[in-house]
Amino acid sequence: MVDDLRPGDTAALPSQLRRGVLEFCVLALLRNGERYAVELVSELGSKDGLVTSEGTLYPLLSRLRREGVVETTWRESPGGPPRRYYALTPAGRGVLDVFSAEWARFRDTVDGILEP
Amino acid sequence: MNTNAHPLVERYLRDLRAALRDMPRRQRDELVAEIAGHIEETLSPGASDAEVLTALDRMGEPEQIAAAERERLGIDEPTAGWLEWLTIPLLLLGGIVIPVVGWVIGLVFLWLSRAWTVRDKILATLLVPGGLLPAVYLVAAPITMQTCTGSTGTRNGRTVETGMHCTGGHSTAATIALIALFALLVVAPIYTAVRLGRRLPPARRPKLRRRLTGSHAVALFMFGIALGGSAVWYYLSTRPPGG
Repeated sequence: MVDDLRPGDTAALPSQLRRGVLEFCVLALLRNGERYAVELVSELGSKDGLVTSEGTLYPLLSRLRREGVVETTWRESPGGPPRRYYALTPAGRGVLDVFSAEWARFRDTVDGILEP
Repeated sequence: MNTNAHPLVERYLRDLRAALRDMPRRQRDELVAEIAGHIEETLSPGASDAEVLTALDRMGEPEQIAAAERERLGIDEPTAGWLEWLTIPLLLLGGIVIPVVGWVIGLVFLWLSRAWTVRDKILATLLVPGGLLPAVYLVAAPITMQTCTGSTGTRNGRTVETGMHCTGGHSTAATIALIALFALLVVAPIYTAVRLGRRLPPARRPKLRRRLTGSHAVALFMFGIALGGSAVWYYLSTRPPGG
């Protein structure tokens, strides 16, 4: 990959950090029940420093669906076209639990090194 | 999709579609529909230009979205290299420089390239086979098939020609049709060439793969010239004398 993160390449830093965790953020937003795409994407897009291009979340959602961590259902919406709702699958919930535990450990470790 | 979408949104979706041209059609249609639906839903019907532009900024550059989709599908980014830039002149003029064969080489290059969609390729193949060659041929060929009929009669015991009636080539309608055909044969290949050029992805940073594609193309080109030359030589050497 051309864009492997190297020390000194700080411009790529946020995008590199984001890359790894974004999909887990999607899963986390679905923790409390299903949401439809526009709502999900808009919410992720409004978080500071998480997503620079909301459009790139749609390919991500497709990938998560194919990987079987989310499932989708079409539902009628009042006065609009049908909406595709995303929900966690049991596999997705498992992945999210593992990530949450790992992330807490990782974050504490990095914090401990950055702020001794 | 909304039929009365804001012009800026329409242009954005067109750009997105173009950026996704190398993806399978089904995936492309689905992604464009999702993005279109998102924009439509987040914008109020009477949104100002500024609001529309803000929404499109949030959505991101079509190229960024295409890059994300390419990554998901495991597709390499298409690049325009020597192959593509040789293809266009070969399709247009190759058939004239090396009769027919030059165009065929261009056709092979066209179908080898990954930078164009199958639709682009089919259109470029059919519009017009031979490039500008048919137009040149039309001009060079005797297009005025003028026929003269003479009638003979007997005058003073000798047979003479009493009249020569020439039906002057074509009727006006046929002449107009021929001119129209000529115009079509000139305009269509040029249109195709320009279109192919415009549909090429923007040049990227030089990559090893691109250089390989370039030398590959040059080798194919040399091979094509050799092939075309031997075809011409064969034709000339087997032509019956006086033919």
